[in-house]
Amino acid sequence: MVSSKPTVRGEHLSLELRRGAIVIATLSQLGEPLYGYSLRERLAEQGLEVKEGTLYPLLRRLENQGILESDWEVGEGRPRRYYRLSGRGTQVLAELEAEWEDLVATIGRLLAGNEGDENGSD
Amino acid sequence: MDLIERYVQEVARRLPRTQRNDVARELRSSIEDSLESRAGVPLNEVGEDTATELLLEFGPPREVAGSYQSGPNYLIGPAHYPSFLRAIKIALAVVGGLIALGLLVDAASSTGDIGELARIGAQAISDIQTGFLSVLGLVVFVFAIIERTSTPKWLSEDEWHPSDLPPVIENADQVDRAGTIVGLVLSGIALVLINLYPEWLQIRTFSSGEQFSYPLLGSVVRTEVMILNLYLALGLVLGVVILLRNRWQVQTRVADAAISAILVLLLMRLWSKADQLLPVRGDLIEAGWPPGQASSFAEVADEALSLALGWLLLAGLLVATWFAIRKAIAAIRTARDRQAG
Repeated sequence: MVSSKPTVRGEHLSLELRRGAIVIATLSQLGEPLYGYSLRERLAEQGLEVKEGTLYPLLRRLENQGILESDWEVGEGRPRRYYRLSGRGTQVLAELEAEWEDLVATIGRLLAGNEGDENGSD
Repeated sequence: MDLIERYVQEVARRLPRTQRNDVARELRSSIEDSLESRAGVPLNEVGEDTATELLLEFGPPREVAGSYQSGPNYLIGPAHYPSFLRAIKIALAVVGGLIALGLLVDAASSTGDIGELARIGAQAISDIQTGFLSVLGLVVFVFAIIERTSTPKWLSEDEWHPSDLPPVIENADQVDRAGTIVGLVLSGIALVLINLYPEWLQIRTFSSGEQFSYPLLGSVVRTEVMILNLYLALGLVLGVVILLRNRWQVQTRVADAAISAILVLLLMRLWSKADQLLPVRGDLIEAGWPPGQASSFAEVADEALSLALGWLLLAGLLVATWFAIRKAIAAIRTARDRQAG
């Protein structure tokens, strides 16, 4: 159990790596209005677990930057704040998507190159 | 549930007042959603263990509240921190020097009585406390304002351009920090002495247990004292400026040479009236000296002191002139290097 836990350094690097990915993942789901918990569930269903203490503040920050818009919905159940992409957010998401694809392709090539080298030297 | 309310409250109280209620409401609603879904039962049936587990996953309130903040949550950030430390050091050195001077003056003028020395000691401790704390507070206050109001062009990442980089500090343009700070403290001490404690700059004599004195900075040198004040005050300002800029530049070089020229002028004036600087017998008697003391002082002054003072002033004048010329040359050299660079 203990041995399978990532090292402090490894955990930190993996958090760094995920940080930017969480933003693009969040924006990708907010073409339709979702509230914090439902967004988290949807991300988790697709395989991306995000800490709640990370996700909810992120939504606020993105809203402050004008990338998201939000409204309270007070129905029969408990009140919920629904977030969705703003006009600017849609544009930002498109730019991020293009960058993401480039990045994934580049990193993929780099890693594939490494594997080739390792195989060659072994 | 009490545990959730306590958690929400701990996060909310760390947030700016304007978003506190809104964030608390959203956080509460999200936690309740999570709890119900996790436990698979309505909120009022959820056990405290489940809530504890969930809140541990959310993370410490301090961290969560920190993630909500988008502005700076520090008083003085990395951009201004080095200048802040530099300013603190200069300010503390200057205040320390002034307090030490006050202590020396008090101690020297005391009667040596234990009670009085204890009082002076206590006063010094209280001066150190108030002096250091208020100067620290002032520097922190000023830098906190700078942090919130200014983004220097070369620090703002959006507009940064390599041409904004300050030029490389040539060896010759490096500031001798320790020397400059010592100079600042000495100038401060001299200014305080000349203007607040002129009685320390007197010729003294004792006769049958009574003390007689004659002020060194009397009416003969009134203009010279003004020039001296100007020289010291300008030197003080220049010292602070070069410590803050941490390099010699053309303007500061020119100012330095000009201030040195003031010293040359001052010494020239003093030298030209060297024979009038020391009091003659009549002056001393007018100041209340007993005739015997006045005569013997005037005799020594006339024969030896006056001559020695004259030579001393001449030597001072030559050294000051040499320094002034060197500084003028340094200013020209720095200006030429800038043009070439």
